Amino acid sequence: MAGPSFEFVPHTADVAVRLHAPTLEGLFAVAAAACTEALTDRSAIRASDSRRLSLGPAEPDLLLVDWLHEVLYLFESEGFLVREAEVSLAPDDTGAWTLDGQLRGEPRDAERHGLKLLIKAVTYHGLAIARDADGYSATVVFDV
Amino acid sequence: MSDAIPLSPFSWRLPRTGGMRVDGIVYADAAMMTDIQKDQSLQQVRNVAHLPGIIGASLAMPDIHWGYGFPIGGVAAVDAEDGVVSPGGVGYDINCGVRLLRSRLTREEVAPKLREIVAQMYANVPTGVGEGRRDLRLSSRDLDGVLEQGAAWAVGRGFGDRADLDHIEEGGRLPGADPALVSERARQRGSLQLGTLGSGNHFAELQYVAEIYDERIASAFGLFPGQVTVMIHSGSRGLGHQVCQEHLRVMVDAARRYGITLPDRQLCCAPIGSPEGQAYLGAMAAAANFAFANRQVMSHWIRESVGAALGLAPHRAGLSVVYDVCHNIAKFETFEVEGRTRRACVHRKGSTRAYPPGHRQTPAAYREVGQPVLIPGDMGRYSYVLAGTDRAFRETFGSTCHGAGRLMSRSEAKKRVRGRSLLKELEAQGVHVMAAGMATVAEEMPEAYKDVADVVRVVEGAGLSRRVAQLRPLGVIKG
Repeated sequence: MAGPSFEFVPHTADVAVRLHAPTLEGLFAVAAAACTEALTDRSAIRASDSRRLSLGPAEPDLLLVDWLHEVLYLFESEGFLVREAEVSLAPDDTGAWTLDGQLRGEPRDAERHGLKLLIKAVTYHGLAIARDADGYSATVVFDV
Repeated sequence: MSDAIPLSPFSWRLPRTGGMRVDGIVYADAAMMTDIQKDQSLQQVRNVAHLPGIIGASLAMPDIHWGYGFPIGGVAAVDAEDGVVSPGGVGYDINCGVRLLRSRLTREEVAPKLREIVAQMYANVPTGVGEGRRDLRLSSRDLDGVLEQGAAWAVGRGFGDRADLDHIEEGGRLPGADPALVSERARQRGSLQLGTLGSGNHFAELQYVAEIYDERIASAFGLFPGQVTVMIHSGSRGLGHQVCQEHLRVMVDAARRYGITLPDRQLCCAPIGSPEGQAYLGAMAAAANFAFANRQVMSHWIRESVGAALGLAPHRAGLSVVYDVCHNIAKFETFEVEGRTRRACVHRKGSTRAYPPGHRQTPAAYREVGQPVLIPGDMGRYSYVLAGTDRAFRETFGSTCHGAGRLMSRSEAKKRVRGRSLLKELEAQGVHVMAAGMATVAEEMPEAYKDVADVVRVVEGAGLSRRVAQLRPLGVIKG
């Protein structure tokens, strides 16, 4: 089974990324990485600091957008850039999930972390978390 | 292949089917329709026609491209009593819009000082990522003032003159704004970003009037050939994006509770009179006012920049506001529809109001000729000034296009630019660009966009707007 991965896919006006992971938690974790990669070169980010987030309960695809908005808010308010994330998800009996996330990264250093673009928001466009033989996938579109 | 039926050389009908409550109408010529039919844009026009309370038709302008739920370049008017309001019909960048300043200067006069002017603009107007200027720090009470009063707040603080307010859509203040409805997080983002241009396709451009198409209207607008102008394209920054995303989130659940089924989740909405609808409208108006204040503040700094570069007191250059328009907004307006007077909530997402001569909301100075419409082109190409018409008022809820749509993805644009220095090419054309160093310059290359001249040609052919003048760039600052 392949590990978590993401790739940017062509989009006329904005930025779209296709996410894959064996587990739902892995999908959320790789989404945070992809979101950061859209902003800047993630390989230049040191995992020297961390942030903890709790979100939900909400349906998985709404929760995914909420999660990414939190990642973007940390960037905009504190300059925090995510190198990697770890997510745990706990379901309730209505199909909603609660998320507990750990983000590792560091505050942006303008010298080391050049920005590719700024993201205005995460949209719900085409967002449907799908299950397949390899795990989970989703496409997320960012309005830039 | 779609079932678009030609109505005229510049308009097409998408007949009502399935859950559509009204037809779709697309303003485009045949060549554009071939492109438009290649992606989801027309399906989105049809989807918008599902909105409860929609009046007339789901409209699309020739700069249409597909967006989130609503196409960009779309207009949807809903009944003010029975209809729904939808944040996606406004967009994330609430009151993204355009302001045009004219001057007493000519292109020849500024030519020797072009680099200095652009450098001053770049130094004085923050672009790209990061906070606004240190000399503009807002307290919570200040921010309340911005959100309630819009451009008038800025004038009260010394940014520009009272006279500017008469030349802004809504006088620079959308009624119904409630600062208390703007979340703490949105406020935090806004308090640091007043007086910032943003990034992406936002810009401030020094221009000259290259062509006049209608002398009578140009004269009323105060425009003459070779005149130096400044155009600002910017919106409500992080505050607006935050308001939109929060209310979309609420409405995803609300739409379900109100039993509203829609073909696309991004069309989520709530009845105008509902708590959710009213909360969005109050917050949206506040965000719109932030954008009006933002353009007012930046105009002031640009006046100072031009003055400083030329060694003139700021007012000597005579930079005055021609007009300032919104192109992402929802407003309550009144129209005659099938013989009845109806009040509507008009959603314009990537569409500009284009009111006719004689309308009381057309500023007094322009009442005989129609409301100015400002259509930014892309970097390095031309922009246009148009005037609103009676026909737009009758057919499109007083709306027209907003600019050029993108043609090419960012990755494709970057590939095409590889090996070329876009900045050098623009310099060779005499356009001096200063950008905050992100990849955006390559992605914003002119070829990545449709040609705005085609868009304008179609709205004029359809009778929705009259061409008045063409503006060409001399210098640009960008994020």
